[in-house]
Amino acid sequence: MFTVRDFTPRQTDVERGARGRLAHLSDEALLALASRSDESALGELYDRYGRVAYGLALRVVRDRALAEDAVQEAFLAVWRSAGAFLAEQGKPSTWILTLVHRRAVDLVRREERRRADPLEDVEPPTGEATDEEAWLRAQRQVVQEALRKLPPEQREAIELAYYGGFTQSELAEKLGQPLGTIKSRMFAGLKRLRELLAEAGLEVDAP
Amino acid sequence: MTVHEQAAGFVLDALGPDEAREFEHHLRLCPDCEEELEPLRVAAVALAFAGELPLPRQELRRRVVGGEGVAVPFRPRRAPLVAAATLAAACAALAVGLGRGAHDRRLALQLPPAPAGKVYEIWFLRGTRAVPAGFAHAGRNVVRHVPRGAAVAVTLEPRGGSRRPTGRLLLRAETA
Repeated sequence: MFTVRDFTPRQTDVERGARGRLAHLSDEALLALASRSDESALGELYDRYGRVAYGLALRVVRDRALAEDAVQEAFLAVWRSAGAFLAEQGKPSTWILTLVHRRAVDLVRREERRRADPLEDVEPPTGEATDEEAWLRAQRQVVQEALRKLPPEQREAIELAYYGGFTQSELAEKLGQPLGTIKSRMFAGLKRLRELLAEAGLEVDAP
Repeated sequence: MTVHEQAAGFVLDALGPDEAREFEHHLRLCPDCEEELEPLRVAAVALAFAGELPLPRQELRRRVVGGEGVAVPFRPRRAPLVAAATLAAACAALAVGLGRGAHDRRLALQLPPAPAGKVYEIWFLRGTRAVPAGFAHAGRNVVRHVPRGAAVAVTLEPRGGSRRPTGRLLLRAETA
């Protein structure tokens, strides 16, 4: 049984030191502060996850203004529900990105935008040689490599659902497959993805 | 396919509204499912890291955290009363709630569809300055952090929005 527990961007001590007084705190500690209306704690969480959040939202909604809306609304939910979340198990980063994805999917469904079209002119960020850049690039490679190893039909179902915002029923229609087939592909594919990510070394919390 | 196996669709946000509700109900009764869910959720969230990650605009941080923003001159036009009446006739509702902390000041909007080629743009007003605060969409509640002491305005702008208000002032609400 593989478990994937950690997907948190790492920062060097130098980067942490360059930021505010909260940079040394854990995500959980920041959430605890945010639940007591500490805005700088929310700011620190944004500094850690805002970029991934925005990139994810943009990939789903394919519109900068909508992506910003999704991120803002997700962080507002973080602000409001931090205390309730702390009572549960689970990583704050996973929770935050889950909120962002859900908001983005809600928006893209409401807008009835054409989904899974190529995203225009998203310029890759200029390659600053920061540790964060290097870390993100490494994560991207690991996840892309894991996706490539999935059977194509499982990968297709997962990518159209997660990035395209399609429901299972919509996918069954779009792909001309029975609903049960789509559900099975998604389930098998995500389980396999979890294993592949664990095999790639993402199962342990790094120091 | 059992409801248990809906976990993948659930963490990928790929269930329809009814299915999602059913699954959430199931989750509350099924500790095994709850345990199974977190690793699947982490695998789903890992997908967020698979694409290019362009840097968001600095302004997004200010919107999220509630700073001062980059102020631009604001010249409100006349006739907000007429515009407000028009919106009221179209079932628009505006409520500004005050609570603890800057983030509890929020704006709830219920807007009719914007005319073709136009968007509703929200502004935070401070004195004679207006800070762009994102867009509102027809028919859904929009919630924004409203900075302390700021007023909120809504204008109609060309699709894509404007850097400063150019359209008619539709709504203006004071928060303090």
